[in-house]
Amino acid sequence: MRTAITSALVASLLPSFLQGQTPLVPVWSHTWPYGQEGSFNSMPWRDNHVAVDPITGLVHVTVDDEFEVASTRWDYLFTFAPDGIDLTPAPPPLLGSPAPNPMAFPANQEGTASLMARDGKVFHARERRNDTYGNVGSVHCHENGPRWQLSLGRDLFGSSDARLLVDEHGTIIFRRTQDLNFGFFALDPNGWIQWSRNFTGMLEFDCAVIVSNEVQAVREGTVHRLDRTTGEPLGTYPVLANQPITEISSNGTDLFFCYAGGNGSITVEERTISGDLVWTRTVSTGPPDDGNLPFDLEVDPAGRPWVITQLGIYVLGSDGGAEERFVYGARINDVAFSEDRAYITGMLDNAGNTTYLIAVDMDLTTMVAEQAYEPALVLYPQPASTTVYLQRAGRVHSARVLSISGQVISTLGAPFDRVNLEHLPVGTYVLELTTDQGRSTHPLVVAR
Amino acid sequence: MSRLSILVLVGLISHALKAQTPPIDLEWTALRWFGNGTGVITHDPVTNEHLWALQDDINTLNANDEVKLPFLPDGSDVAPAYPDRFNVGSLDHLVDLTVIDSVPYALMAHQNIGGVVQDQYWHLFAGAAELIIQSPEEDLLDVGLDMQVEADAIYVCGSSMVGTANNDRGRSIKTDLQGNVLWDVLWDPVGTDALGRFSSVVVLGDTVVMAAFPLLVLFDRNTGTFIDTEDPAALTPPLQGDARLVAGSDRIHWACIQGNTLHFGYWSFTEGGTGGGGGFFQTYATPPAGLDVVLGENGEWWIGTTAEGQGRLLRVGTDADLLSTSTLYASITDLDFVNGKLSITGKLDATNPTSYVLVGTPQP
Repeated sequence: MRTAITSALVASLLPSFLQGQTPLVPVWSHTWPYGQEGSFNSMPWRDNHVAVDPITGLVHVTVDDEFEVASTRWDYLFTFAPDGIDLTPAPPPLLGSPAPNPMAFPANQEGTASLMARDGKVFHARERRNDTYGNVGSVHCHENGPRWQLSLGRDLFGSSDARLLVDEHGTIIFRRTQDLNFGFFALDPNGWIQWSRNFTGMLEFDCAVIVSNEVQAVREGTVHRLDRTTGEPLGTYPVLANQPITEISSNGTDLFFCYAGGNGSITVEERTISGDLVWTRTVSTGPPDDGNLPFDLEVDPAGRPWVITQLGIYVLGSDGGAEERFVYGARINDVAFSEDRAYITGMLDNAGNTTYLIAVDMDLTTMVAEQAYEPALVLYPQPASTTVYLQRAGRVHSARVLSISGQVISTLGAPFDRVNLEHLPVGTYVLELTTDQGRSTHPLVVAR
Repeated sequence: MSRLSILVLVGLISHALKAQTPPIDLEWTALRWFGNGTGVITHDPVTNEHLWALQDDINTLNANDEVKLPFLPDGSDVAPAYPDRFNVGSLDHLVDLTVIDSVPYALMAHQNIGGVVQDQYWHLFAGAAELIIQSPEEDLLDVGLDMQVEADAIYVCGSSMVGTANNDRGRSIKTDLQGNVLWDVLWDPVGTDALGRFSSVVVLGDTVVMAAFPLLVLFDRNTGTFIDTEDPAALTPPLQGDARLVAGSDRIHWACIQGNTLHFGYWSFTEGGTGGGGGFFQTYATPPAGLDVVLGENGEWWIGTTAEGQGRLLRVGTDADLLSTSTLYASITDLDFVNGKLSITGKLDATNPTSYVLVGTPQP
């Protein structure tokens, strides 16, 4: 077992190879001309998540149905192969939970709170604004269609996000319960409840992780250890001097914690499973506004903690010795890992209306761009009335114009350098390109 | 994640749930943090929607009433923030519930705590209509125990006290679907081993059959005229208890608890009684509590009860052959089987009031 002193020495000797702010260069990317959902519980990124199935390698992403192709504005579930090939069935599955009276529920009142995947199953937790107050929560298993769901009822405060953890034994769900307590539930892969644990009192659990055969969950500076198999308590230990923990993660043996300091900094700690401190590091992030606050912490397969803010990702060395800030698009919403890649989803630009999913190589030497970042595609002008021109670095194999519901309107011919819009009514369309990197879609706005 | 004010951590309640999973493919589950083991589940055979009734014993939604929690066929919760509720006054509770084509039929019990004598009586709700059922002499105790809704009529049963205390009679009433009484009968158990109450009612052809174990008490379906009694278990000593019945195509399947043993069997006009003792039973370390039976498909039927701190689900063949036994959470309080789906409700664990309902399709 490492000690805090030893690790601190190792960290201090590491070369600081990660410096500055670096645009990520995708191995492949995909975009959708929608997904900029408005605020729901002050979480504008609520609907947009990415998950990697560790068994199949498939990448799943949820994107808000902003154009209300489904009238209740649920979320699309898209699926990609590791090489970027779009495996989403047509029409794309819509995830959501219906409201008692849809007319009384404005759009953006229902969303994906958490997304996980394993062995062909996609697990998604949902929250829906109730008609007067409070959220209604549920957890769903999707396997080539809806498989099972668990209804969690109302949270009086309306602040809860049902959160999911998934391993080979099934799903751990944690969420505030209706009577102001907090519940943990372990389900097997078929949806049967294996154990439940109810914490009384009004304190909220911020985050939890599965490590070894334990579930470790944090609230108000105390880590509660539960037996993964039975839910029995295994004790507690304090962390970060009673500071609110933003997130917790694990490399399989140790735990990583992060919290936002009040002065524009993020502190990250590594601890052993019993709570012994291995190392701690504070990273300066700039003004402590929403964009710089960490909302997720992930540990990649190389053991490096990734602290995720809306405006960038801080990747630390596995011993906490260095950090680099990576950026992409206007906002980062979620990150998931396979063995060799990171998948990142978010919003491409603040002014636009585009959701992206990118795959980046986990080898930092290729993840870091050696030249200035250039967009993979430029469409101009936008909006356009008669013709829009394409400027792209790589080779285009085919191009199509689709309606926002996915219907093919026209197929373009080589050299794929322009699109004639004269025959299209005013509106928003999708330009679909197939290139060496796979298929990508881009918004196309016709205005006259 | 947004944060709440820090309040004192009061305590921690937990329960590891050891279950022999029932032989069904689970489709949806719902949890609520109240109800305390009094849940009733019904499945509308026309709309395929479900209505789950739970006592709001933590007064979160509607103080101490049974709240109506509707679910779409896939288990989606469509209850408003303040759900509709069952309420006929203080000290009331829901006994049985059926919904057909969105019309609810409910049997409720009520005690008039404001009366000089705290009279107990039944309320039968047929849609918007209400029928209050009391003893022929008022201010006595009346208990409704079961309801069977058929295509053309409602049958309810229970007990009414007649004359003096400790003089209970079995009572059964048939109404039309608007709650208008078609017949109303009392049955005196004097001279039999039966208790003075009908614990369950089913309809088999032209006969209405009541459970007053060890007896089945038969009445004419059209007139309510007493026909005969039958002893389906024929055990010595007699099998006394509040049995539950379910009618198959030509058999009545029954289950009855006596001491630590759950007996089950069937009876028909042509075959007489089979079951009870003789291999048709399950014995537990503690007395089972609560009982429900429902008819499945292919002649199978299901028994739910609670014993040794766990829900117990028995899958029984048409000849009362025990096909499987399963354990499920902390209790089973009600079963329903409609359109190939089995619904089960009860308590999730023994140490807090969390209620569950689950719906699934039985495996072959």
